[in-house]
Amino acid sequence: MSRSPDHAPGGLGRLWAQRLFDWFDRRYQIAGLIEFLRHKDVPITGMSFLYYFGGIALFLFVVQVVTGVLLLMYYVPSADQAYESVHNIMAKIHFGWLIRSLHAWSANLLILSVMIHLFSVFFLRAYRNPRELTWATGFGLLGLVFAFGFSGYLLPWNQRAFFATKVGTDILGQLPVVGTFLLTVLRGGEEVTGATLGRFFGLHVAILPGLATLLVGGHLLLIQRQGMSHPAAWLKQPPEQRRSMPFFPNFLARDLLLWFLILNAVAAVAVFWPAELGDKADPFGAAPAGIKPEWYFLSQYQVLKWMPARIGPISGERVGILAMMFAGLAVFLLPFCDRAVEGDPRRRWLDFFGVAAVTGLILLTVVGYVSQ
Amino acid sequence: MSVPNDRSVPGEAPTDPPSSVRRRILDVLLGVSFFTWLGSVVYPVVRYLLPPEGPALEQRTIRVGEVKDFKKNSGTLFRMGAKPGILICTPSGELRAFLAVCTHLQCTVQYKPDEGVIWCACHNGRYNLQGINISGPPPRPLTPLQVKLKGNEVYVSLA
Amino acid sequence: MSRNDAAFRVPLLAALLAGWNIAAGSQSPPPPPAQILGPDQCAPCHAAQTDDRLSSPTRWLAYDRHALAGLGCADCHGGDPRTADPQQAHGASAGFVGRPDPLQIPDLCARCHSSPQFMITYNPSLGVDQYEKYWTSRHGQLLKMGMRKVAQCASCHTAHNIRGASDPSSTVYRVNVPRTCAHCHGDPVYMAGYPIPTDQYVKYAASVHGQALLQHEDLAAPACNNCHGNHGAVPPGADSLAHVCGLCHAMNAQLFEKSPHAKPFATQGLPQCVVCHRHHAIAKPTPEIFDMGADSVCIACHRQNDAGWQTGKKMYALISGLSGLNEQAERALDQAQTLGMDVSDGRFALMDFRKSFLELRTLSHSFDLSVFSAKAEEAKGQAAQPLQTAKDALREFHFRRQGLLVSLLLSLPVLALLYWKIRHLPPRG
Repeated sequence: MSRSPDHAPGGLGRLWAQRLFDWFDRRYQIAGLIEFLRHKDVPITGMSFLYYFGGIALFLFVVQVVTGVLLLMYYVPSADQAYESVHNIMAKIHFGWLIRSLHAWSANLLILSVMIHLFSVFFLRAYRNPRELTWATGFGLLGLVFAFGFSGYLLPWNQRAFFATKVGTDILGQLPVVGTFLLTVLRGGEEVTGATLGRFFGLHVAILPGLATLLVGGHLLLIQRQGMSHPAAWLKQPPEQRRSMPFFPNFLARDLLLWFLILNAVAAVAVFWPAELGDKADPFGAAPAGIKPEWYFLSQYQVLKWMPARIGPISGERVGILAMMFAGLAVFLLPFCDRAVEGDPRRRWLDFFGVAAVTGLILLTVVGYVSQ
Repeated sequence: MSVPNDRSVPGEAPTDPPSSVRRRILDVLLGVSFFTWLGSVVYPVVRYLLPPEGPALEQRTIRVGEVKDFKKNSGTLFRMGAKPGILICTPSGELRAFLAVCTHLQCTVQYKPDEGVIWCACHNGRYNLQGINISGPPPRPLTPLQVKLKGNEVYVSLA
Repeated sequence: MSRNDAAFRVPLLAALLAGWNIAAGSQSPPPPPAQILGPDQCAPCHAAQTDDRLSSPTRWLAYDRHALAGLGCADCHGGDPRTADPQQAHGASAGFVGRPDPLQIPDLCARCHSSPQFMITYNPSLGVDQYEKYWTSRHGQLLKMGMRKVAQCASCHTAHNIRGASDPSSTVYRVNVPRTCAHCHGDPVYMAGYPIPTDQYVKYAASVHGQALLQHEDLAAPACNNCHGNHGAVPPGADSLAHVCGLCHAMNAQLFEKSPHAKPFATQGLPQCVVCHRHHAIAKPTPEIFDMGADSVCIACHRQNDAGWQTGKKMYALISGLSGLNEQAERALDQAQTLGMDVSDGRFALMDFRKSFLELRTLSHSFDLSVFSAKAEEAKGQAAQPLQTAKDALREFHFRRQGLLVSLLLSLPVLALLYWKIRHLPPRG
């Protein structure tokens, strides 16, 4: 039965907590909400650990928001001073190195957990009817974290960032029809300049966070509304053998424990490997040798590198970009193509695509990392 | 992932009074330890928000002072990032700035008003007021800086 | 060479004729040549010669100052440049000289180079006193005695590849001068019979000046001729040495002139700077120069515990105490930097120390202990800040790790209790 705090005897603190709870409950009926969450069931299967990645991504998103807001206190978004201000954060501001390193490392981890989350949902077939929109919003969030990564990378205005942005925006410029438009809008001109920095800054701290908040909100709302998807194998079991746990407090407590561990791990990494800064961007300097994109863009980068100069009438690079866009579109449309509903047979042959995609991504990333 | 899964065997919930007291104590302990730990999060954040002393930001453009601060036929040293700079007000009242780093052995140069030259005390190197080495060991001219006027204020920036 | 040369030569001829009548200086050089200059047949024929001695002069025609200014082969070698017939061209009646005798070369060059009226039409800023100066040099004096194994104009400037001193390919470009001199002066076989050493080049190349000029191509560093003179090359005398060194090391020379050493050095005829610093093998002085040890120059005059001896000992103590500080601070800052800490403030502060330390080295030439120790104090104070920066950075480095440890330790009970709580949550509401 509900272990509501009303029969909790003892401490003054508890009494105050109770009063506060009552105050809100009378106005916003929180008890009902908790009750609702308590009834939300998390199925227990051999693959249950995969359910944590969404929560991890959410937690890291919060870490990004908090550290990002803190960085904003000292960051100056101008070509003249961006580098100097980041150097200032790293060298002069108390714990500035920690905040920036946390932001940088947690960003990488966020992208990784979003990717794992996406593949988990695929392999568990949790995207199926009726959860198409949850998948679609999640896909949008994946795009957003990439955009966050790409735009945030330029902000320190160092040499690597400058050239990575130059190459990255060049690739966008290859898009048919909208390429030149997109390139000019993103760069704020023909070249990567201080204007680009201003635009990327606006994107990174205003537009993208706004969109992300909307999408995260929608994503969470849909999950709470529909509850967790139940794997077909779990549903096949007789009801008395199906094991599950309430989302609140049981699953959430496990979430908390993991978040706590991850925060400690990121802090340790930040202390031992603080984020690097390198040299200030020199628009007239030569591109530093061995320049590569961040790991999460390495696979795309490698595909483009392998493209021949021309395929038929159009350039190989453009073909590669179009192919990747179609792959993205296919992923986005997945729940609308796989017309099965929750509880239908898994269709093992679908796993072939998933395994191929994961292996391909990992291989391409490794090759991109190793190759010159 | 080493997160334990609940063995959701029904009717296992331990609700006898001694264990409920123990649970309450542990809850309180959890709260206390959590808030103690939270201190190690809040402390860096509070320190971070308090700006450090001294010049806040290494800048490419430095405000050196107001025009009236610089008398004719004088030189003023200032800090330009990690290096010293020198602002010269020539006898005719023109403002020029250079990195005050001698090109011989990196001593800090100074203005010599009696001779009207920029002078390095270490080896008697001399530069004219265009920063060009004119005598002594300096092999190269001084690195020039840009002087910009914004109203009455003098700004110097790396050229 | 192109045919345009003919047109070019008319003013040259006029200038030569104009210069003829003017006698220059006490030792008036012979007059410029009065030849009718026509199209030059020497170069095409000589370029085709298989004997390198005959063909090599044509190789430099596009670079040689004289060739570029229109001076033809015959202007120095005589003969008739207009004919392609070897007999006729090299005939005695055509005034053919062939290879000029070294004893004649200064006169040959001076025909033009000692004529102000002539030279001003080519290079107004070039002096015309080389000829006069040359006879004052050791080289010139020996040549006058009829010795051919001495340097004359062509020995340094070459005969056919004459370039300006600012041309990096020139034998008289500052960086190349030591090699040019060492061509003879560094060759013990060639110099046999002359009572002077041949190790100057080796010593110079290893010296501070040699390293600066030859390795770093620092054109502010002196080559041989900056101390010895070029056309009037002689070893500088003891009394003029401080002036020569003082050209660049002005502060040191000034301080020395005012120091208690100036007078005794002058009365004993000691060659000032080189007594302590030597001449060709000038090394960067170490503090040991003042330590009154067995190798110290000072003990040649100073006796143990006399006033100068004590001053030297004190200066040694002050400067050797500081000389390690720069390296110490540098090391400390490097160490902090390799740990990922920012030490730019420390590096900035270290520049002040370096400046004072350099000034201190200069001030040692005053041998004035009060001035010297005041500067040493100042430098010592300036070394403190970079060291402090490095120390702070290291402390910060350890503080970060300790902070992490504290945070992790504080999180352990939270983790343990949370884990316990999860294990004891009622499985179902």
